[in-house]
Amino acid sequence: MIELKNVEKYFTKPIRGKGVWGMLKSLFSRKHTVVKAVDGVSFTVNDGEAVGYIGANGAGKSTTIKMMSGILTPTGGEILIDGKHPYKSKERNAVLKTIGVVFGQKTQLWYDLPLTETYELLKYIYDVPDDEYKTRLGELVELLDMKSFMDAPVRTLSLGQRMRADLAAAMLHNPKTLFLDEPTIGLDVLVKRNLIDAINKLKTEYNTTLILTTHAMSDIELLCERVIILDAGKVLFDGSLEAVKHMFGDSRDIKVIAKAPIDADGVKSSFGEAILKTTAEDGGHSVTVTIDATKLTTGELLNYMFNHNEVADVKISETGIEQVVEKIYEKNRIAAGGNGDGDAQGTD
Amino acid sequence: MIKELKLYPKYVSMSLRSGLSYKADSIIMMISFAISEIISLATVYLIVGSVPQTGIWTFNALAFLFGFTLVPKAIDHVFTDELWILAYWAVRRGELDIYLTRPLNPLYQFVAKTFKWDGIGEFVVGIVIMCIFAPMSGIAWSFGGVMALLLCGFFGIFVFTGIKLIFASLAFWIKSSGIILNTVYGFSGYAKYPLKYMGKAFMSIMFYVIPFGLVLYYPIECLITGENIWWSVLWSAIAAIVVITLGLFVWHRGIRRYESSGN
Amino acid sequence: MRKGRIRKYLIFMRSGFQTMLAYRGAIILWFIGAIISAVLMGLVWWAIYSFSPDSAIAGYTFPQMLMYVILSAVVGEAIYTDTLGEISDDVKQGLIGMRLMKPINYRMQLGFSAMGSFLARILIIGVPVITVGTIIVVFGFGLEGIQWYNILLFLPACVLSAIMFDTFGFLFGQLAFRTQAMFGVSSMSQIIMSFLSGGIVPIALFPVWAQTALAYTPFPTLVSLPVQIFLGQVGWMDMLIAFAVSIAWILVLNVLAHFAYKSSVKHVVVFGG
Repeated sequence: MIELKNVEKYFTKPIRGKGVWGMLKSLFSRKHTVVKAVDGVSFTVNDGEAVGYIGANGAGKSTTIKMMSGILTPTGGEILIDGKHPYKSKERNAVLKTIGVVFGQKTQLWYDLPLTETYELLKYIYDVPDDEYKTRLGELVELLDMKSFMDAPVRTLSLGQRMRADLAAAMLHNPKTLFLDEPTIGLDVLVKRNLIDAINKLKTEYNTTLILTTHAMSDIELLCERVIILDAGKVLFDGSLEAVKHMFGDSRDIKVIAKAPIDADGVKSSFGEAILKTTAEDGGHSVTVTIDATKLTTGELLNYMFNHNEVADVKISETGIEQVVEKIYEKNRIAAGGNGDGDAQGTD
Repeated sequence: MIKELKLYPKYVSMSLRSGLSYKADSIIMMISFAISEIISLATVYLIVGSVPQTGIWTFNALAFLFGFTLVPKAIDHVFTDELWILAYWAVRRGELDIYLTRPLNPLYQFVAKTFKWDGIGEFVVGIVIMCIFAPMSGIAWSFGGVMALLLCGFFGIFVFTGIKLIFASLAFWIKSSGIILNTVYGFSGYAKYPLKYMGKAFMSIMFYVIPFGLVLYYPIECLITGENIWWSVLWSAIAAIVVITLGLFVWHRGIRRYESSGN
Repeated sequence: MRKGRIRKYLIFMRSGFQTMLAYRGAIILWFIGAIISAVLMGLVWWAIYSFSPDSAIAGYTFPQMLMYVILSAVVGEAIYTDTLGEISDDVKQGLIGMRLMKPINYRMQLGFSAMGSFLARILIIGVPVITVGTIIVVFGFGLEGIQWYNILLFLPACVLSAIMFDTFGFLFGQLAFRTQAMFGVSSMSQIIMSFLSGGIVPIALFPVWAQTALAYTPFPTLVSLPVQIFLGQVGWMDMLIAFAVSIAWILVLNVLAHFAYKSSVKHVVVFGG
């Protein structure tokens, strides 16, 4: 179990003066700004959960994951992983043995050597017994489809291969929790899909707790049951994926293209409140209808459309988490008086 | 500690094999270190040779001192060269993340990763110079003297490592401390001159502030003047312990401030 | 046409100048380091002079030697431009092919950019350091014989030195097309050049045979010539000859660099970037 209790991480940045003199002065000056990267975050993750941790750039998601994985020491609050602090020197090693970490932008593999070399080293670092290491590596190679590049130097691997290899490195010692910091960054669509499938397989196979940060909301939809949304160092939302999606109602966008112009107002008057919005394009040949799925089913609407028009094409899209998050941010910005950067302040 | 020692051969072997593709690089580096030390010795020769050689610090004695300064420097170079990376880039680029997530001392992991065998060039030059000039240095050799000198050299390694660690760890506060480390490290190059004549203030600095003089110059002075060299062994040991402790202290304070930037 | 081309390269000079300004923090630290080591070298010389029966060693009084140490440190730091490193980076990152395609002479581009960075270093840091250093050595240690015209002539000598340093950088930089070990090449070439140019000790301390031999090499132009001119050790006629010889060397080395570069380009075409 992972518990975060009112965790804070503040960075201090010296105030740089202008010019040569200012630079020299700033070496000795104690003036600095405090940036609250993480500002009072609390949540609990149970064993076996898969949690997506999202937020804009600088929202503090990487900082949180780095505190949970022992890289950064919190300024305030407490982080407990199965009752131990990952950032306290006495408890570190015990905690670190139970977690695995993958960074999308940094590799832990030796650049000029074949993968097996890094894995051997990790085996010793994590005290994995010989036979356990062999079976586990075999499983991972199979699961992540790594056979073809096991003996090539890491520098010759593609980014997708490297990410899979990094995943295997993080899973070798059978960690209870796997932290993934932007694992799909820079990958093209197909490779990304493969990697997500691989992560899903690992999760089901080993029942690993998963904590994931990403920019791509689609990653979260495919991997996580629970979402934590962060903004300016604070938790905005913490709940199930379904709950996020329905936070602003359960709506669908149905786009209908017909041979003759569609009577959008007719649709509205027929269903009343169940129609949230209609947008006509292409001189009425194409109409997008947003419906409230709790009041009207997609089938009912389509039936109506087919009966009243000569329909050429239909496209149905569920409101994605992406749009929801955008809305959440918008709402939060308005509530905060339109000032999202109000967290920097000068001190002496 | 036992785990670290047991793992070290594995690290060395990985480092050596990963350097194989850059063998030419390492050989050129080795030659360049050796040449630069030979040029340093020529410099000492030109400077000292410009005045009549009176007193104990003849060129031969200084050459022996010069050779001695190279040995601990070279050994430290072989084992902890990665500290320069810490000073110049590692903090700024957030390169320590990986080591902090593994259940093994992060400083050990960071430093053990690079075994810089090209430092052997300096080591060989140092030993050869010592062997050539030992008989002519005016030192009355004894078994005890040799043992004491070995010990001083051993402690000298830790003074080099400790100074590097202190100033490289400053990077946790100022992002990049390479140039400062370079300047401080440069002081070691002046332990090969007769500090006794270079002014009280400078000698005190080289003995008590940046103790390169204490561990490199002082033992040889004791040997040449016939003073009790075991005092210098004691001082070297104290200097080594103090400097290493300070280095570890600064590292530990620094790593807590580590910001893991560079994404 | 010709005017337009020069203007094109002047842009590189300006960008070299501005790059130095952007990195002024690091450069100031490098200069501080160079000054500290000059002070330490001064202490070494102080000890050596206390053993000398004469007031002068190899024709240098102690104040002159002190000035030499300071000036050689400043000149060495001011003329340092990383032309070699730029070439090696371009080759390593595979940018060299792109550079070759542009209608810009690579040699000229690097040369003008180096000149810009030299000017930034000498004007912003070199001049103040030399001014303070001279005042200290003249009034604190009684240095005599510094003439205003020698100080003025020191500057063109430094320009020649900077051009030559850049040329050497370009010449040795050609090795980047053939080896990965550019860090080694760079540090080795710098140590050797610094020693042979009088950057570590004055050439006057070298054995006579070495002095004679060095006189036939381009190296003294790098450090020894400007510093000796500053100290007033070079007569008018000798100075004229030295300038002429330096310029001749710069031309010869550039012709060499040109051919070396041509062969490198062929290498790229044959083996790929």
